[in-house]
Amino acid sequence: MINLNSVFWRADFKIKAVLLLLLVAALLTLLDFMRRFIAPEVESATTRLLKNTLNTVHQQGLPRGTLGFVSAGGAQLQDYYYAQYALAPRLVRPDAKAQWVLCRFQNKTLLAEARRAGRLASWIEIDFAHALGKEEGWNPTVQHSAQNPLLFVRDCGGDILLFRRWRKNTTLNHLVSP
Amino acid sequence: MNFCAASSSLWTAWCFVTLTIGANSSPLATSRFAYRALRLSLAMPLALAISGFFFFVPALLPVSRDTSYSLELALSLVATVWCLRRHKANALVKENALPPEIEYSMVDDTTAQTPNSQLLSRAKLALWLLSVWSVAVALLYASQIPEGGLDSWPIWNLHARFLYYGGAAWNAYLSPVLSWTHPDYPLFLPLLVARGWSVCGGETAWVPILISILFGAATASLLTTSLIFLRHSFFAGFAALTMLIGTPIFLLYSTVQCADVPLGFFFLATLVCVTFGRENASEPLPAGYFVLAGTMASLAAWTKNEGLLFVVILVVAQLLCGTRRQIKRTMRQIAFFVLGALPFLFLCWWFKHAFAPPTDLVSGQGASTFAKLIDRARFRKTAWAFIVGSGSFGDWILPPAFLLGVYGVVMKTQRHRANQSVSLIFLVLALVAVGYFLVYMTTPRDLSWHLRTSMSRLLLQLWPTFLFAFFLWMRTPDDALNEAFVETSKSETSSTRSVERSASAAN
Repeated sequence: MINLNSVFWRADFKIKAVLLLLLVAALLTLLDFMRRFIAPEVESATTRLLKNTLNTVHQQGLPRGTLGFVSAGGAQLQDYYYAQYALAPRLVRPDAKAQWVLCRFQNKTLLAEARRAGRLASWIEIDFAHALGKEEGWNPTVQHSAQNPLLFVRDCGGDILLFRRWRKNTTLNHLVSP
Repeated sequence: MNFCAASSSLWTAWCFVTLTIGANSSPLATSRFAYRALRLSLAMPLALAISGFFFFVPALLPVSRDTSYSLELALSLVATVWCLRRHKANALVKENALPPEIEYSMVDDTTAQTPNSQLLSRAKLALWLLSVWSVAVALLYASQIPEGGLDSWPIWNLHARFLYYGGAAWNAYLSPVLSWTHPDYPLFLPLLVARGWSVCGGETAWVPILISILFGAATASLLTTSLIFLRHSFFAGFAALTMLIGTPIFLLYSTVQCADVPLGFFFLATLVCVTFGRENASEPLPAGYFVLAGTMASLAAWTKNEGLLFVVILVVAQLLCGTRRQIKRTMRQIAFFVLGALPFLFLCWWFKHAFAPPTDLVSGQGASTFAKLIDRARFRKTAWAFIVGSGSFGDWILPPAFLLGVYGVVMKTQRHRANQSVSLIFLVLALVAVGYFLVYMTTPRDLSWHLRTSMSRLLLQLWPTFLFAFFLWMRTPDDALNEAFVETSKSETSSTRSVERSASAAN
């Protein structure tokens, strides 16, 4: 008769079991990682977001490849970061190509101030809530992720978003200060 | 020209690694793959560093980009000639037969016939599948966040854009307007990205993504192969790899284009080279390992400010771990280490001295620093964050402390020649952790915010090296399995004998 107890506690069994445990833990972790971070709906939401945004923007007459982003007036820190991330490198070049920048104004007063100050040479207003397909449902994970700069536009839903023509000789300070 | 020059850097790095750690040290044909993987893991990041450096030369010196790339090509030619000459010299030495001790570290006996050869082949298959799967997962995840995570787009890739687009005005980001991008951070990663874009002919998100994944893969490969060679055990490397790949935060940061995984790689590479050098007891001193260790440590300093702390601590730890009897040897080790570190440390110093503003964590110090250091509340808060952070580190399904604990209980530690190196590595890790602790204690920023936003990344930097030290310290599964096999054989023999005795007694 086989002594199960002795088989179970045999030294080589324990060693193999530990190796197997490590392997299984790694596999489970990978699966969990995929479940949490590589959800198909996240991908499609982001793709849809970009597609819709860019389509809307280009329908309004902005040529492709001429877009920078900037937030102005009351912008959250995250927007400020994103603005500088996307635009700043272009501003340091004398032959900078960005002609238009996306501005975010959190309220109409700031918008009016910007107009009065002549900081909006020309502009196009976009209804982002419509453009982004808000009715299709919002994924809270995506919406509140601070790590994905692509979500900047989505997070702006409901605010007034404008594209303004970026004037040559505009410095970074001109753009970011309210 | 640009592409050729960038490719030639890989060859230069390969030659450098070959020259420093030896080309033909692996006597078994079957171990050549693992040995090449080890060398490639060290050469690839070094190649990236060299190509990044030559992208930076026109910003430092009055030379055109083409001249700089020509110099890069010329360097690869020099490396080739040097390598060929050394190869001939090695062939002559080989004819006179090398003493076996010199090849101690490189002998791979994993192919020896063991009672567990079937288990070995299965484990190898599992390792390959796990590696391929992890890379696929990393690529999938990276394609979803092509801009990377926080720190990548507002810091590293932003700096890369200035370097790539800025031309002569590349240093415009050093303006106080962009002080939040940490302009004092070294340029290793931004230069790689900028060089990658210049090779591709334009800005693409795949360059920083691939660089990020490459460092993750190099870390995994180096950890596995170094343990295979140092402990003569495939399973030690296998166990370490499963622990590393199974750390979600490692996978995450291998895709989000931050500098923590590259920094962790350089920490690991430095200590792997030091361990190889210390394990090789031959005379003359195997200087190449220490030169390469110095280079890797200086690249850590060129990657992130934490690397500078690491370089200093490593020198101090080597002094502390050297016995009086070996003091001469230790001093020579340190001298070669510093020699290897000089080029990139000089570059780092030049950048810091001539361009970068002071580090906010240093410039923010003042009269309140001492008060912060002796503030009990800050101490408790920081210590608690370290304890909680270490306990919950990695975001595992099963806590790594539990898995390593089980592994340790079953395998047990082993008295081994490598134990001196293990002490050195643990000492370095402990001192770096103390350094981080002091930085937190004196931080001019809000302590809670600072701890919350950086603790896991700092632990991640140390994680691969910790795993290396842990698995170097433990008895290998191969040894344990062989021992179990011998014990089983003995008990079977004794039981057979007792059966025979009882049978003969009955007769």
